Amino acid sequence: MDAKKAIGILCTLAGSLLMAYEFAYVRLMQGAIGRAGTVSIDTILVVVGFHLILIGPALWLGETPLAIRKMVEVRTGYRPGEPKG
Amino acid sequence: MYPWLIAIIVLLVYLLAYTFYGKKLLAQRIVKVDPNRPTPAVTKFDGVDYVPANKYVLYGHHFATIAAAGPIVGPATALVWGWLIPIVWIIVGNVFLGSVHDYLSLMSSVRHGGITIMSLAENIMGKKARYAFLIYVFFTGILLAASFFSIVASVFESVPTAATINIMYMPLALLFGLMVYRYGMSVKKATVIALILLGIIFAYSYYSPIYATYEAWIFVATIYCIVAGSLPVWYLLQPRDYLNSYFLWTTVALAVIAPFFLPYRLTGPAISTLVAKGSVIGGVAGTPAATFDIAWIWPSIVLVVACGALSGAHAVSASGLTSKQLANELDGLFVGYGGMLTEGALSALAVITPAALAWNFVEAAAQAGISAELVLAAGINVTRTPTILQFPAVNRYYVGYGFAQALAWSRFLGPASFPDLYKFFSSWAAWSLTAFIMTSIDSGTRVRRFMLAELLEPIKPKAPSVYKFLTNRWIASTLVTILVVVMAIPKIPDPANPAVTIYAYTVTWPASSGNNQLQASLALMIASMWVLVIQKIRGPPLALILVPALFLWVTVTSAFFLWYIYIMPYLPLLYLVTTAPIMLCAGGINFYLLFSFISQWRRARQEQ
Repeated sequence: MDAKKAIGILCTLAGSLLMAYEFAYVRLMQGAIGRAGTVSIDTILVVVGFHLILIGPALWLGETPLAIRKMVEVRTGYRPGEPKG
Repeated sequence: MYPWLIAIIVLLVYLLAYTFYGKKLLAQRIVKVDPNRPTPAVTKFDGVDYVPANKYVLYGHHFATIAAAGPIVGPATALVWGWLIPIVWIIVGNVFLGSVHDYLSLMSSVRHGGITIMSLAENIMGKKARYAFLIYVFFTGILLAASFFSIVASVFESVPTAATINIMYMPLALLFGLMVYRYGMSVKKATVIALILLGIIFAYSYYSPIYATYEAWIFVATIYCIVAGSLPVWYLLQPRDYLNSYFLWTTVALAVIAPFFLPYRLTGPAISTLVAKGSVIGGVAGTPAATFDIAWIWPSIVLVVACGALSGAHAVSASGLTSKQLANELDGLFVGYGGMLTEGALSALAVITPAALAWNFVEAAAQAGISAELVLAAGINVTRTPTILQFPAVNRYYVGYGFAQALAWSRFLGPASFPDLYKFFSSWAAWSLTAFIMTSIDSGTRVRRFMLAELLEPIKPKAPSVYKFLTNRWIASTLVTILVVVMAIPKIPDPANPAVTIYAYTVTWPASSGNNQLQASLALMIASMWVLVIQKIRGPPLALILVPALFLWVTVTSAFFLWYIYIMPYLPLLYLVTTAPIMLCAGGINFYLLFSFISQWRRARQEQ
């Protein structure tokens, strides 16, 4: 497993855990996330979790849309990412 | 006047415009669409940017991209003149300018291999014109983004559940993208799964606010835009636009349906004034510019209403994104012309009509047998804010929308349901507003990143490593966002009413919408040049495009001078060093492009 993939898995897991903790536990205990007029640690955690979830899967699973690549290969015989001809 | 009558007029005019002006004149006589001519989506298919799309999917994607804060904030601001003139401008401007502009930008791009309107300018008016137009569009985009950042942060601050829905929405879009594009799940199956999850997210968000300050939300929007603007388009943007379109259509559909259950008179004045205060066109509160009587209905209304009637940014979306996905030339009318008419319907029926109905809250509620106590219970303080005009422009949308929807549905559920219905539908409207904006600020970051790369092309041969560094997607996304953030952060209490906060968008919005409208007039001129030179059309059909373009140019240029003379000298330092130089450069480029257009036009006429 390369480092990029490992970081991606880590980011995805950490992001999912942070968001699950905030949306399930904190929301249940406090009725809201954060407090009006301030920037609380809970708001920071949910925002960090949100961005980790956006970036994590891209690092983990790669940025090539495999389903589209297959379709292009079938239609054109050209493999995206490789030089034409 | 009754809401249902306005709804019938708007729908009838748009239906006639689509059939006769759009289909018969534009599509058949001017563009001469040919269903057998292959589009760039087919001839240049690459599976990434050039992908033929289903007509309805593309319509949803295009509509979600073009509809941002403009069709809402503009008309809501224009209510200072009353409801009649803004709605007339939305109907007329949309049919004869906005939809024509969008459709021709799309089709001229389709006929030229899917190139942007800026590159089309190079083909028709030369390389200098292309760079001038590119710089102009780039900085207009920055001003627009500053307004959008400010609006979205202000809504997140005042309606914290809107933040929740957006934070939960993005991972869902990402999941949809992975299901379809990575694992090859069918769009239908993935849509069903996503919509079920979306329903759960909606229900959860309604009871789960996330609190933070305005400045903190600006910071979050910044990081989000850098990330979303850098990730592959299939990963987040495209699936998010697609899923969002269901949400946005529902918002528009509810706005179209509700008037037919509202047999009440509008409580707002048809025309309240013909000259509003300078604050409407960007005069900063607390300075003399805000108190001058300078916002004359003409030319100000064209600037203020913006996207509901016309938007230059649509030319960039239509020619930069949509044209690469159009599967058949026949679909162009539905996507380009129809998409813009839908935006007009949103402005007229979801923003202006509800606000005009709810204008005087107590009077409007009384027509439906709802007491002032129930209005108070809904959260509207009728003593402090007796009319909708006391609310900031953005709030007028979700207050008016929520009020009208609550009035309509409480007829079936009983007057006692009014407060809960109001709270639900005003939250819904605030969510939809942020959804509209979020689909544009991240796409905008991406488009500006592309434009930055195009602008830096001249340094590429001399300093390839510098070019490579600056156009790295993460670096470029960061660079194009920095200036946006600086302009979006300020907010001050209203000197006249300290309970009301004045956000940065009140300053940047008139400047950005002015540039946006000017961009539209330039795009229309390029389109008319295309009609003359390439399509070989002359006479009345050509005049129908050229005359509105010139009218728009004169109108917006007049408004620019109004802004230079009355608003600019009183700007705070931050805007004096950011917004003012952009506006001054825009003015210069504007004249340069006009002269280029005139000389090319003369040459083209002589050659013919």
